Amino acid sequence: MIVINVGFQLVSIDPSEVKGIGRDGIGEIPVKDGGSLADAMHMVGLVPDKPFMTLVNGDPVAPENRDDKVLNDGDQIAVFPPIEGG
Amino acid sequence: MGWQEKVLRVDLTAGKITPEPLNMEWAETYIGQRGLGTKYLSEEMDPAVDALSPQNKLIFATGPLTATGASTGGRYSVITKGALTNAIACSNSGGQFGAYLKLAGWDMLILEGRSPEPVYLLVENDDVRLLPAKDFIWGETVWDTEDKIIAKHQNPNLKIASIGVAGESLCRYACVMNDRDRAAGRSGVGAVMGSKNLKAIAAYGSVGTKVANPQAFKEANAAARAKLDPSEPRKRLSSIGTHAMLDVTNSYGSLPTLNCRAVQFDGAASVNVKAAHTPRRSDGKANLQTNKACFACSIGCGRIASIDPEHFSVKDKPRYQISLGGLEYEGIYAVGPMCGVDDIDAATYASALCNEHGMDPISFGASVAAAMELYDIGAITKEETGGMALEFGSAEALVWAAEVTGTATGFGVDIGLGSKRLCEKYGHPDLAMVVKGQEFPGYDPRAMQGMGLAYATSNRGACHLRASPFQDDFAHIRTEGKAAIVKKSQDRNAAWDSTGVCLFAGNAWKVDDLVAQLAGALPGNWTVDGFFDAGERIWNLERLFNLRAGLTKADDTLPKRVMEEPALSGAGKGKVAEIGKMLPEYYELRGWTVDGEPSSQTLGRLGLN
Ligand code: SF4
Repeated sequence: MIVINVGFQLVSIDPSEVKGIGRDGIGEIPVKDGGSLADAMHMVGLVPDKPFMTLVNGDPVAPENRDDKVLNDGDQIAVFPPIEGG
Repeated sequence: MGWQEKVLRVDLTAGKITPEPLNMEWAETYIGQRGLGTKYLSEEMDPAVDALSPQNKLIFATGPLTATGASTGGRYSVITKGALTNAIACSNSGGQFGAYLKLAGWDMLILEGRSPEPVYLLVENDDVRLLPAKDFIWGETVWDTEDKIIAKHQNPNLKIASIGVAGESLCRYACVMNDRDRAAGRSGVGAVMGSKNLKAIAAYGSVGTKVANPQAFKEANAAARAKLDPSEPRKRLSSIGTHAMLDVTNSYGSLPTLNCRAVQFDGAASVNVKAAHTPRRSDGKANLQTNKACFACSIGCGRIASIDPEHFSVKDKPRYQISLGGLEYEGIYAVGPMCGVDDIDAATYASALCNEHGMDPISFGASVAAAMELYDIGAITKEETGGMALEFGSAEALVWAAEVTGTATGFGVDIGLGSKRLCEKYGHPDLAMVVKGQEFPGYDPRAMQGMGLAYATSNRGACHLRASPFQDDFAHIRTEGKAAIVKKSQDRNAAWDSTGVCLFAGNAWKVDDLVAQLAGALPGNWTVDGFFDAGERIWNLERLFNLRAGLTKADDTLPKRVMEEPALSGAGKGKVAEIGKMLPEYYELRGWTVDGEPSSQTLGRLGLN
């Protein structure tokens, strides 16, 4: 199986709750070629249909589009919680 | 039954205090707090009066769930015509004061006129007195005012709402502070209090509150609590606070930086949550000490911090080498990235001075940022500042600005005008990042189009709490669909802010959870639909106030910069705020004319004509 590597960054999420990510919230994970953003989130144990917000290479990917968002080698994923301001 | 059914009317001109019954018909229609206070203000006052004249009224209003035991139910609002905006002002605060006012037996205070001499109001249950503030607390900081009142009356349980020197000297964004570090922060409600020569209100109450249906209330309250306490938002707000938003907006590209010249801040890592948690070299302590909760709140999003005792801002000042109110997102955005300052101790000191002197840190920080840009382009020079190099990124300039503005000294008086009046004075009105005269909170509307619409249409000027487009904005940079999201969440928040419960509980609750508590606390039939209807009625009532005050459709806009200069980076790179694409749909959804006025049909539907 061909595998690609994608960068993963947790923003304002406790990294201890997420598999394979360093204590600084940053890591790199292998994903099967043709894998989606939803696949990558599954791999680290983030449930894709939880209301996390996601960016791939700085562009937002809405929750409903995560299954269709195919990843490329070297893509940078950022995930942050659905916080509201105050 | 949720209410004490009593209002205290205080004629400051005559020094007369009159209790009167709460208008229960209005309470049913406008819920309480924000809605009910706005109804009283609209009925009793011509909205065209000068905000700083004796004709303006100042209302302190609790909600039906304030002090009933509902989770986060300790809130009150200050409702008046805003000194910053000349529009309806409604500033909501937590802490303990609102709950104690209600526990003293009063749902609402209506303050009228202007006292001939500085005074403060003492409310101990039914014993209510106006007392002289001159040669006692007038001219004092908020912190000293609280200490002195408590010492004089020998009652450590008094909870105090007061203004600092900023409010006394009519700084346009002066707040009403309570419990040292909680604020009815926005729109200049503290300046209105200062214009009335009213320094403080001290409340102590032991009357208690009652609910209409104790069993139903108890059950609804327990169910809501069971949902809130283990929830992720509660844990997150408690551990990393609202401060966590800084990494989110910075990575997204919606963090207003350098007076909105940029949308991401190079120095973010020096002022983010991680920086606040990291022990420093000098004394091994972290900036963040602990969290703090308001009355009946199990969230505790408030921050308690300490400034590095070696830092230049506090080095020889033991007064500030203590635990004090710490950094929350909207404050740190404004005194940090917006000014280009990456010094967490300088930012914490500036925030502390905002608390001590009674200034809104959002408007203060954004006004300093505007002044820094005016300095950068040469419109302000050292001649005006008295020698200070007011440069973007200068921690020294930020610290100096907080000191001179809080004490209304020298150029601080100009910074205290707020961005709009400051930029007009120095010939560059387009550099003010404001809506209706009120400074932006920490979201740039180029990457967050829904927030842009929320700012433009907010009845109290730019605000992040009047609508909740966050989730859609962080998922889609588009204009489609934003009008409906903004309208619905405006109605929801207007009703929520009228209950006495904190908006943050809404991160874990649905509207049903709150309505069930209202239904237990109050007589009558409370439904989710009725809740949204009340919110829409309140929103339209605020709009009518503003139209009568002279505001028009032209005030539903954003600064030229965010509409014409594309974002330089981030998810919204190349985008501008496209308010013109969203506003017509928003007016239509509201049932307003193309000129932004509620149609007679809409007014009829809401019972407002
Ligand atoms: S969530 Fe924060 S602001 Fe709201 S009541 Fe609790 S401590 Fe106060």
